[in-house]
Amino acid sequence: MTDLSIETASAPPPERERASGLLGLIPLVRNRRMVLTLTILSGILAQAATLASLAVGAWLVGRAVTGTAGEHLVPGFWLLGALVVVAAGARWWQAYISHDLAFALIETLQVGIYDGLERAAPGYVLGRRTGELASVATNDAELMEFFYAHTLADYVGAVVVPLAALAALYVIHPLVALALLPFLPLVASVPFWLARRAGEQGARVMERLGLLNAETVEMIQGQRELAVFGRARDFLDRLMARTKALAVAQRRYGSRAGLEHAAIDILTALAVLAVALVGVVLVARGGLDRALFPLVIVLAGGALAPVVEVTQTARKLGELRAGAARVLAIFHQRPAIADRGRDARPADTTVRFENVGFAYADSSRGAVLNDVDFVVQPGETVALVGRSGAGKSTCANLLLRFWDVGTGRISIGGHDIRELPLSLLRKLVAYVPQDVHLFNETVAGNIRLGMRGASLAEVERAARLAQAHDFIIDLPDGYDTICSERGARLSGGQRQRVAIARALLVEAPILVLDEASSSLDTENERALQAAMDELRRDRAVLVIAHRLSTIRSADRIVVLDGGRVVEEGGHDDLLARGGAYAGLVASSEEFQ
Amino acid sequence: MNRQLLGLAGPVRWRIVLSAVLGLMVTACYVLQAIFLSFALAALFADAHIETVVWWIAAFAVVVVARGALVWLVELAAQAIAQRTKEHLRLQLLSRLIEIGPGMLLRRQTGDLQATIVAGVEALESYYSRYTPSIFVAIFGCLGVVACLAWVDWMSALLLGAFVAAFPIADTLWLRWRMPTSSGIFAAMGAFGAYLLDSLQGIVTLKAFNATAARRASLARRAADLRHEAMTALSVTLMRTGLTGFITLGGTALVLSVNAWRVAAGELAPVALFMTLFLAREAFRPLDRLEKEFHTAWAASGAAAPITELLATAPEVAEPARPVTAPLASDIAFEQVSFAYGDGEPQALSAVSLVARENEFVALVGPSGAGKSTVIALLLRFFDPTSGCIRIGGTDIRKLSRETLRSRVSVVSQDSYLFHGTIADNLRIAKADATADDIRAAAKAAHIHDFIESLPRGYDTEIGERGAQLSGGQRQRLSIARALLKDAPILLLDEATSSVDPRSEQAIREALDVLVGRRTTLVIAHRLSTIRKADRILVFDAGRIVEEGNHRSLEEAGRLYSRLMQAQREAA
Ligand SMILES: Nc1ncnc2c1ncn2[C@@H]1O[C@H](COP(=O)(O)OP(=O)(O)OP(=O)(O)O)[C@@H](O)[C@H]1O
Ligand SMILES: Nc1ncnc2c1ncn2[C@@H]1O[C@H](COP(=O)(O)OP(=O)(O)OP(=O)(O)O)[C@@H](O)[C@H]1O
Ligand SMILES: [Mg+2]
Repeated sequence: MTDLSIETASAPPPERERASGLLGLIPLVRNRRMVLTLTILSGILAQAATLASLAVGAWLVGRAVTGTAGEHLVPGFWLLGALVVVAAGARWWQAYISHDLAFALIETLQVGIYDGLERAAPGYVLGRRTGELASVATNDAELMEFFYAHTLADYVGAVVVPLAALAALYVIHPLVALALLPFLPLVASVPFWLARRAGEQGARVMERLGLLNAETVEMIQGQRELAVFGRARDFLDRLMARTKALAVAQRRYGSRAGLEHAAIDILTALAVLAVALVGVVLVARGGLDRALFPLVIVLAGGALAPVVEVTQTARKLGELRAGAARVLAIFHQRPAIADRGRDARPADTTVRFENVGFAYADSSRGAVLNDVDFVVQPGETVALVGRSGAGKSTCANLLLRFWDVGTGRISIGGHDIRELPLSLLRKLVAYVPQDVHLFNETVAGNIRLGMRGASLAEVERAARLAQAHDFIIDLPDGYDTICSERGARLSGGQRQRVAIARALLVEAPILVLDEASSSLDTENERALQAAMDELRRDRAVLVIAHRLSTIRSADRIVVLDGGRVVEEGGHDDLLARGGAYAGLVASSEEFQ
Repeated sequence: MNRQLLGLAGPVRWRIVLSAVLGLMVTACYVLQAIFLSFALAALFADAHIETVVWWIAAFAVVVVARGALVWLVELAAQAIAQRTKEHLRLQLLSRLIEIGPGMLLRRQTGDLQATIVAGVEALESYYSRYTPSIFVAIFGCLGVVACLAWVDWMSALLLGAFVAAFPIADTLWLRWRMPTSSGIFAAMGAFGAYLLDSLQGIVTLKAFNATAARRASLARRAADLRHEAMTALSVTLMRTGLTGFITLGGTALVLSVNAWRVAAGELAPVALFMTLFLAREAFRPLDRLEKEFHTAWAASGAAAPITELLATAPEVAEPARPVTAPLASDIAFEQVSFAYGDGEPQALSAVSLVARENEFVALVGPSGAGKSTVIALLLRFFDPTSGCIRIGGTDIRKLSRETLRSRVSVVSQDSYLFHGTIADNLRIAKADATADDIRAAAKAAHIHDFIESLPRGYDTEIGERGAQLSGGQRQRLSIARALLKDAPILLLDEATSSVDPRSEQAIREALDVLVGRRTTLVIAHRLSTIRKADRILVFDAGRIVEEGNHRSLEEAGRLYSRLMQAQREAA
């Protein structure tokens, strides 16, 4: 980021992983065996009929030239006509059915990618770039069309049809078949000559494309910062450098593929040449009927056509393999946490942190919490306070099981939260996160997030409680106003109030408010507190806050420091004690 | 060909011609190959000396090798065109994105823009690098092949020519009849991508509200739409492939049958029949290729509309034709400024007049939604006021280039964006050539240095997109450090310490106190502690300034300000 230069692209994934890339795509087809079989059959039919029509044409030519009377050719003409119809029809059928299969599978992949990310979130997603992750589901997944529509079935055809042609040639004369034989594996092997390089180049292309995607998203979303700090041009230059780097990778990839294409082209022609020469010699020696000579040549060319076709698609194999690896890496993400709880909804909703220790796994930063112990009872509001970075939001994250505790346990009504089904746990706990995320939907839709069936009256009630109703009805379309991406068309405090309304709507017995009113003016905050008074009576409420006015509304204060609970009690008690809490709030000027 | 698409092409005209010429040479090779093979056969059947036959076959071999080289060159030419076009288009799009400014995201979704700028350009390239040259090859190549055949036998040429001509005609008619709009796939793709990106960025919220399954259903619907669009389009183009395949095979078969008959009847020389056998296929080869390229190019042409549209989007604010030089002073004046975010939107600011003298510390307070952040957005010229005028150092900011204006201002916005990368990277955004000492000093002032030092990798710690691996207060302090590092004469703080604990806040305030008197500072805050020391406090309500004064005088006035502060005083 610093000098906005391009860091060296990291090495492509290890060999073994890449090898398993494409094979990993096959299990998806398992549920669609019927369609796959049809795809393969139609492919063979199309290629065989095309070859047959060419062969019949050549046979007719041979007969005509060697003096067969016109009338004797007529059945051949009819056969030719029939084959043409069959070949054209089969080609269409094959193309249609194979694409139908491919797009169905892509759809499965795309939804599967979401599932994978959802399972692994937030841990996996947080360290990564969302633009790149999203591009895996669009670019990379769409690329698999090539695999499913043009590779899978075509390979079967490329084995069957040439063998049939070879057999036909063998019947005509074993020696011509022998002349053709070495070319079949030779042509088919071309993509493997440079397979290793193809794989590396493909991985590089996909990786650079992913980076370009990631940074494009960052440029769009961070545009305000880039403008303010006068770095928009630099970022643009960086994206252009990425474009160039991608183009270089693509060019390398393309010129290698072009070379393969040329090699295949030459080999095919040489095959015809070899067969022609053998044929000429055989004809000259009288070993081969001259009338069959055109047929021999056409069969030799035609036998290779399906192989050429698959090697054409094989040009893409490098990219495909890399794309498949990226897709499957997400597709097969393991759940961040195991959802194996079976316990029923606890009657009591006391939240208890018992000797909780935790460290964010993917960081070497050491433990965030050690030995945290506190209780929030129904009907009680507990304020969790502490320095910035003390681990308050982490406690909320653990209660919602975005991560699992390292040591100790968290329980609700005596049940370890790991024993509760996740969906139940998240029904029990309503949450206003520190970073509010509003989706690009209507205000009502955003509030309904946790309860899709809620009536408008319920939505309005929640909005009223959250002090949001008044500003919402002033919006151009009221509750139907689209919030824009991340709620961009609302002010900071308005976004927070929508998020509060969203949490209040679900009427969960446990409520976690992480800096939920930090952007609210004090008057609105006071109104919110008053409105929630009744609500709080039968709920366990955990508020995380820095503002004294928010903290004061709590029944009890838990002070977190150095990953431990260091103090606990009422505001006045704690102040009188002159410990950590007093030190923390004494600096707030409201207080002086 | 499509006018809109041609308009987007970069400086690649001659490269396209070159590519077309190379393509024609490949076709010529195919024709020569067919001719040589026919001659070889004719020689064989005419009982010529075996050497003659072998000579023709040798000539055939030479052509084959030449063609191999040409095929490779065609590929290289296509790559070169592709690269040029992509660079050209992407540069234009990104520049336009900067021109349009941050206001853009209110109307467009990131995922959608991303699709246009990345996938759209990647797709569109094939229109220039492959489709356009293949049109030329198809026209001239087919004519050439038919002419060759005419040289041997005009009747077969006429017959074959009819089929060759029927190919594009049937094609056009078919497409005119059944063609779906190509924009469908691309639009569906953009919609899917945008929805997915929004879901990913809000995945924590989705999980917390048990809404992942519902979101999945909507996402699956978009994926299904995408599939449906793709299949609708495909079923038409594939049907067309069936039709043209039929014309190709049928045409070849018919000409062959007729000529076989004529040879059998002794009306035609055998060599002409051989030529028909091998040339007939060559006549259709360029058309086949054209159709294949059309298939990709057509799908890509769906990207043309969003690209053109993005390029045509007017910037939110216009750059002055002749910008004046930077003002020396850094006082700020709003003169009767009114602003609404769009037609039909209520006024976010109505006739606001305010002055912040040079090096003054002015606080903006007021209920949520009163228009405080809007003042900052206007001052940075993300939007222009509907009426009234904003001046810095006496100069209307519309007369300054955006760059000059923004170089005078540093900001911590309410939801500031941190970039994927390290802490040091993020700080250096503000000042590319900052020394390690500068960075430390800024971090110390923002009271984040100690935390950074406590990290195993210190300033080289990766913080994730939007600083996701930091706590809320750490993110805010990092943004403050970044703004301080820029060291601009005007500093705007929009709720910059709302998630910071009181002790850190005090430390930051003290650090800022040092700067007071050295720069013009506008602070938006709800916390009393943050604004108490301000030289002047402006109280906003519903887009207007309703009170103005210092803490003491406003308290005494007993109106909105004192009401707002009431809750906090009660708390203490
Ligand atoms: N995803 C993550 N990966 C690694 N470290 C993290 C992650 N999220 C938070 N941390 C670190 O864990 C510590 C505790 O963070 P947490 O968000 O719980 O703090 P907090 O008490 O809520 O602070 P604040 O008041 O600033 O919001 C911080 O030092 C933070 O940098
Ligand atoms: N992009 C936008 N499009 C339309 N309306 C907007 C947009 N941004 C803000 N508004 C509206 O303009 C008004 C003023 O918003 P602004 O962000 O200036 O408020 P604020 O005083 O900063 O509030 P807060 O204290 O909540 O941050 C609000 O009613 C808000 O809904
Ligand atoms: Mg926090």
